[in-house]
Amino acid sequence: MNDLKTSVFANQFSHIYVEKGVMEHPRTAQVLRRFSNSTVVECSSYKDIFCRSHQEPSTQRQSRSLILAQGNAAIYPGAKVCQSMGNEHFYYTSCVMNCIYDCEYCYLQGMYRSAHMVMFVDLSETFRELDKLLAIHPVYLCISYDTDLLAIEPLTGYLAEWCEYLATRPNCTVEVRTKCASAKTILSLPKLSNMIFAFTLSPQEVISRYEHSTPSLKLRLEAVDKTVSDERKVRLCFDPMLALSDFETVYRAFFNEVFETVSGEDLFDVSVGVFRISKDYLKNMREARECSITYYPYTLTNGVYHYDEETEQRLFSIARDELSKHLPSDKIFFWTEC
Amino acid sequence: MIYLSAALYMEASPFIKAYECTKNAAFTHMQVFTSEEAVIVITGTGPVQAAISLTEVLTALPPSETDIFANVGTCGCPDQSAEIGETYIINKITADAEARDYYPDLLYLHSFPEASLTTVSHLQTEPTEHSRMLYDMEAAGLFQAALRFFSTDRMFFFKTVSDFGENGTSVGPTFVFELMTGALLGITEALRSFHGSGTRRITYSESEETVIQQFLDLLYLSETMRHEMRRLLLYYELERGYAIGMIQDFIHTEEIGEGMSNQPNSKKEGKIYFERFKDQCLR
Ligand code: SF4
Repeated sequence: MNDLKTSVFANQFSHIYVEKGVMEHPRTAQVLRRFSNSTVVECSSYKDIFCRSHQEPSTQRQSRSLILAQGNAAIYPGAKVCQSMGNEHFYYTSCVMNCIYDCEYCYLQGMYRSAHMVMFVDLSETFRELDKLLAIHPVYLCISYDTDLLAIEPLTGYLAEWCEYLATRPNCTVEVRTKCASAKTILSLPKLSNMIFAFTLSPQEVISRYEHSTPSLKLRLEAVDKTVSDERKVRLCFDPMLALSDFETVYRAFFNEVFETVSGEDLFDVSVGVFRISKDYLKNMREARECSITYYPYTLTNGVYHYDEETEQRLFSIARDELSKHLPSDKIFFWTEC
Repeated sequence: MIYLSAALYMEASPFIKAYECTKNAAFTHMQVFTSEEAVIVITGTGPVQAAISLTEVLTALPPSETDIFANVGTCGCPDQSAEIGETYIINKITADAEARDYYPDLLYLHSFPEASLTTVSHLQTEPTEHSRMLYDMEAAGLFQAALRFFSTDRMFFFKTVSDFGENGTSVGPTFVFELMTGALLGITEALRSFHGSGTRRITYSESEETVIQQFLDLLYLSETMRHEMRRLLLYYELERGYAIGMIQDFIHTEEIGEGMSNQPNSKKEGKIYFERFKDQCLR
């Protein structure tokens, strides 16, 4: 049934909308070269496409369009449900909105009414804003929350540009969160002590069922292994843990598999989170897609939906048990508050 | 169902025949043709007129979540290298009067050349200054009207070039009919392939809906808890299996219902059964 459905859809990025103002930008040229068969449609503002009313993201996901825009990737203080990893000045920024992967639990479905992907082609304004912050205090910045920058690096070159910027800003530490398994791309980037590659890992059962189009656990672990071997900073993110049926067995086997490949000593740190989502996002996600993760009967506390206390604690305690065999407790960060 | 609009009868005529539509007498001041497969509206010319006509029909005959909308018709093209009779699918509509652009989502494979279209409010007798390739008199109005009823991926605009917008060009009804007859097969085939390819949601049959309603009534649930129960049923359906079977098993094993040993008599009692049912769904 799915195959039959897929066959009627045009390729991903069959349409590329380009804001007039960035038609001549080198990054636009780079993207258009890569997708020379796509139809290019000029637009005045990315919002005319991305923020239209009455879009159907579930169908759009089958044939995403790409929108190249001028806009400024602003720098925001970190959100309550994200982990600061002990950093006082925690911010995030997004030069891309939406992701080439398709995780059923992804909060982006609650955040945006479109599944199309927007790329802000010019980072210079973001860098200027960041410099102002850095003049006041050190900054810990997540640059790959609302997308997966590593997965699109060969297309965009954003990480290479970030590396160039970071090379002269030692008081700015950047986290690149990813499910991508391309160690080759990572190894092609300059080695920086202020860039952390944060690999999100899930049991293969979760990947197969909910993390569509993402690399397998095996491939992600190989990428982790190559990245640590190259002496780069690596964080493992076990987030979100999901209350699958039989989650105890599944997650214990999963942690075993992870630490058969990776040594805890080589890791910068690890983070653990159990699925949680803001009330408004969950409402939008339910409208956007029918999936068992969004329709689970969660408990609502202070505007955040989460598993009931007992389930949460069971998931956390599995992680705590298993991770403490491999890492000291000051390297394990748990997301705990609502 | 395919909802189709054209400004003029002659543009719609080949489609009325192809979809075996007959005139719908419920509409007295505009021409609407219906069959089991299609609703065809002759909107008249101009963006405002077209939007009003389409809105009226869509309000009277509301589309379902899987229905699609298509606008067919002729258009002018200042670019003389275009071929008269060629049909384009539109990826951008500019409302000349508002200086606003509208974008139908083109997510499906198709075999038409694509073009941008400018909607002007009166007939052009000179080639336009716009760099855009095509112009018509309705699409922008139709897009805005249809957007209340169709998502952007379920709207399609097909324009067949009838003239180059030169001074004094007149396109007669017979010629329009011939052009649209030529466009018919490509458009109907495309619509057949687009229709029903979008996202489908879980729906219950009438008899399944009756089972759910009876269950909700049986448990004395408040309005909020009824919504919660429906979400829970959807969760069960997506994660575990057949929700209706789960309800029937629960009623049977808990022996609830009229004449059975357990019959909740208040919202409080119903809530206890709701929680028990939830536990079983998550087990
Ligand atoms: S990889 Fe991350 S950003 Fe991308 S879809 Fe999955 S959860 Fe969302």
